[in-house]
Amino acid sequence: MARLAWARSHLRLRANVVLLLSLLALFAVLTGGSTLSSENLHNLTQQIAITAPVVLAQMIALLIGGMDLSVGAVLAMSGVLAVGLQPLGLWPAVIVAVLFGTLIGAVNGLLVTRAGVNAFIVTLGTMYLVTGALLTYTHQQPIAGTIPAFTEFGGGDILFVPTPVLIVLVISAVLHGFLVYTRTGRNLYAVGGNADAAFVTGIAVQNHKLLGFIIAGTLSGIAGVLLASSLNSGSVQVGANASLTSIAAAIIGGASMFGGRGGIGGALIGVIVLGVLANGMNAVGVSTYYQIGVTAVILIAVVVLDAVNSRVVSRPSLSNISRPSLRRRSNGVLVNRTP
Amino acid sequence: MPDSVTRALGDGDGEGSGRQWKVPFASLGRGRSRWIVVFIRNEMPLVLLVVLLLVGGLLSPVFLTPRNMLNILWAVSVLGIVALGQTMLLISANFDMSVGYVVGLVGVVIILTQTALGFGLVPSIAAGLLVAALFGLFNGGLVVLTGASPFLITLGSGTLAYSIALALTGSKTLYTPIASFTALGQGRLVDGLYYSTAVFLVLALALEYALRRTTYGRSLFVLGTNEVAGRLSGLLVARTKIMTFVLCSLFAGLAGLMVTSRDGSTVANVGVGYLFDSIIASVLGGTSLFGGFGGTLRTVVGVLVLGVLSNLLILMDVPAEAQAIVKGAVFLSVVWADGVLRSK
Amino acid sequence: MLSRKLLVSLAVAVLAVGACSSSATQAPAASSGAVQAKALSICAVENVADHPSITQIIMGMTDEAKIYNANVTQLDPAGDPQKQASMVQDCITKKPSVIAVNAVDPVAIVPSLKAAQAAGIPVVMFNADTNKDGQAYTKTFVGAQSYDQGYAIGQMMDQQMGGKGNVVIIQGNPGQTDVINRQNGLEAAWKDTGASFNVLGTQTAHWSKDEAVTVMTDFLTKYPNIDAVMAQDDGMGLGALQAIQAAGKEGKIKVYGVGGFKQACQDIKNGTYAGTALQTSYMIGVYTVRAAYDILMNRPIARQLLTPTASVTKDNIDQWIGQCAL
Repeated sequence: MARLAWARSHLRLRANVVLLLSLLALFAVLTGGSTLSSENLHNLTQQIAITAPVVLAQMIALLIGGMDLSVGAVLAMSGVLAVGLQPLGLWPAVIVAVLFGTLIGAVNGLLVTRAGVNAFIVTLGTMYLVTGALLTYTHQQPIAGTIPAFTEFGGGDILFVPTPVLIVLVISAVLHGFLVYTRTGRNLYAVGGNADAAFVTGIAVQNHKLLGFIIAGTLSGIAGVLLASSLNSGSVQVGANASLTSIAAAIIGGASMFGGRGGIGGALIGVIVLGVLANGMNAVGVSTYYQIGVTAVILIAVVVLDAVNSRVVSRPSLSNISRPSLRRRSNGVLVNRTP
Repeated sequence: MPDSVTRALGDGDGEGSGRQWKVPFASLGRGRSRWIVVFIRNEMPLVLLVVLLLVGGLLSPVFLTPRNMLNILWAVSVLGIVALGQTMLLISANFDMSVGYVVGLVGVVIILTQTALGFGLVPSIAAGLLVAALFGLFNGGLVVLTGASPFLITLGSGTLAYSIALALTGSKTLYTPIASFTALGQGRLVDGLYYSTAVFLVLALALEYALRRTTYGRSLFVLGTNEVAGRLSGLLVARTKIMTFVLCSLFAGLAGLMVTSRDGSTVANVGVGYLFDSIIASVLGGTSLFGGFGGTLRTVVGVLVLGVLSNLLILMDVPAEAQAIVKGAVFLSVVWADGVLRSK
Repeated sequence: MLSRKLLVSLAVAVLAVGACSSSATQAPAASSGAVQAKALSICAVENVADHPSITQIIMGMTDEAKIYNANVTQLDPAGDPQKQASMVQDCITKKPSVIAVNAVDPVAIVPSLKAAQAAGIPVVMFNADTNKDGQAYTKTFVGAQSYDQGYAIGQMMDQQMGGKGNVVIIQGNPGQTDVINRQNGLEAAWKDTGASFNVLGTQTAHWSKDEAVTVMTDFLTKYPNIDAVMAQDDGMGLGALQAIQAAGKEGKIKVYGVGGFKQACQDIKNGTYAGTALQTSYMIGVYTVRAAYDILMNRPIARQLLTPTASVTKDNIDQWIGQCAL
């Protein structure tokens, strides 16, 4: 089952890869090649690497049939903790920051599985709580980093490759291996695709969902540390739009609002496409209003092309007249469903 | 039947994968008091609203006054109109992430046609609503034709609407030249009851009736529950979907009209907050994000919960930091309470 | 269905295009000898784009740039510090003469400023400055001090109300520099003039006129005897005024704002609005381009170039009404 889901995501991957290459070519031509210069590629990959972990987190959350609206708030709070706790030492601060993400992920997971409800409301609630904690802890002021070595995570280089790129590549490889080659990972697809069927086959659905949220929370924590490191400060204003844009990037990369779909490769492609687009438009000097419009058009184009593509490829039959209805599984609702 | 299958089929609660942990207060609700528990569980949003009203009344002497209640109604009526449209769409298992930006765009179109094209009151309003309907058509058409994710399509079209609104206004505030324009948004039917509130409540009732008693309304539930079955039983899926998208955008446009005439001016980003809040209000009221369940009267309750919460936080002079914490605590306690009651 | 071959050939094509283009643009450096006017190119990164005051700044920059024949690129990170950092990075790649930055977060921008200096590109801060650490990497700051604006309003309130009364305050987004500065300026002015205002409540309306209407309405419900409301910008002030009018208390409550919005100035003229402090955003844009040119020509430049803040009340409205442009 997971193989089929992974293969379907693979299709989206291809369409997006074509788009990515076309964008790269386009911007290269428009700027006379400067977007492909080593300096710009260095910046571009660093920028992408910093925005990637949040998208990976969201992809996992969508995979298990939920979503995580608290990613932005966790991102900001982890960053603030990583900077604010530096008096205790560099590594203690970083570890606490990442663990904060894990903690919130666990809270999300426990509430979703224990109460059997809406990831939307649960993660919304934790988002507000974390935001409140953030504003209180910082008194609404940004915090400056005090340990120079801290900037190495997000802003440093290892042999000319930006450090965050290496960190994200390692994380992605581990996650990919987990999702595709381990039983627990493959079970996550099953849990998201059809929780009842998964349960009947003996998978501990609750535990797997909890695991998914914990992974998502941890990734958000890591994202926060990388971001704070690149800015060398804990900022209250980061992550404001992160939940929405990460959902969009994950879905571009193959995830589905109804769960059971997606993959690390796809999510990365989604982030890369958006990153290349932004970087390219800055390089060309596209005016602000048009940047927003262009991003919107590309988003619609990607989605439309992808949908048409997957429709054409799979044989039309009763089973795929409309995909969403097949994803109907009985995730709880806030109030009891009267038949 | 083997135990595992029974548990898998579920007990009608919706979460069929069995409960593996104990929930606190799990022994509530046995015996006589069971009907209370069932009632509370079914009407959680209403209970929440009542609880908030009671708490508010205790905490602040001015909270339960008629003036304050009417103010709350007025404050939420624009958001409410947007949420009504969103609810209809959610019931049919779709999303509209463009409503916030359509609100702004329609306001911009209305005032711009007044200033730049010299339209009168009615033609400019018609132009604005027409733009809203066209957007709905665009959204619905794309979703139906391509079968793509409505979340992403509407996110894209909403961002497009935003960039158009920004380009048209140049980020400036546009003021209406027609003095009587503000009569709609600021006018009252009777003292305290504003037009916008009346419109909101009337529309909520009308839509609720449509949902329960008309074919169109019931077909939305079918679409949200099992689209294939609906199609097989003769439902015109495409047409219904497109109509609902148009309806949702029209409501966003109506909200844009209301807020613009209330302020007498408009900016491109006036509606940005309504997007998230419209979904929150619908979900808080009990409408399911996955379709097939919900109602507009429920959304009225959801919207009121949000309004009462904001009002209370200001009346209690709660600082900004604590406001977020309170909101989060309220949402999470709803979840917890729901979990307790559903484990019966 | 795309074959692997097609994918690979596409990738090769892209890289080929890139390689060719970059080698083609290694144009020979301008030949030395004749004296040439230096071309001014500015890469400007705003903090947000959808605010009227920023539009004014952009207009000022555009108009002044025409005089200098300068090329100005405008980028907008929509209030996200991380996006702003990427945009500054992308600016550095473009190698303009000067980079101009309107800081979203004064601390988070510092590494980007450091990078710009390391790349040899001078930086002008405008509208929102960076902190002391960051200032080591910048040449100057062009702007209106929001602290001074708050101070001006504080003084105005003391003069007009005799230093006594019940006041409510409506603020912008929590955490933003302007919010903190205007509040500090207000309180400092009250301290200096010995005013003893009684602040009944302080709430945020997130710079939104619509939200300010609701906030003010709730304030009016709770406090029956408000004498004045101080809104941190005129948008919110106009919203508060609307709420006051709806409650039938027009004329009994003084409304103060900041920014010099057109509508607010009109209302000052006909007596319904008590006062505002001008934010001459257009001039900020103009001065920024001038500062950039001076830096390009290696002229000495002041550490701060402040545009004037003027207190505008009914007494001097005729003098200033032309400046109310927002």
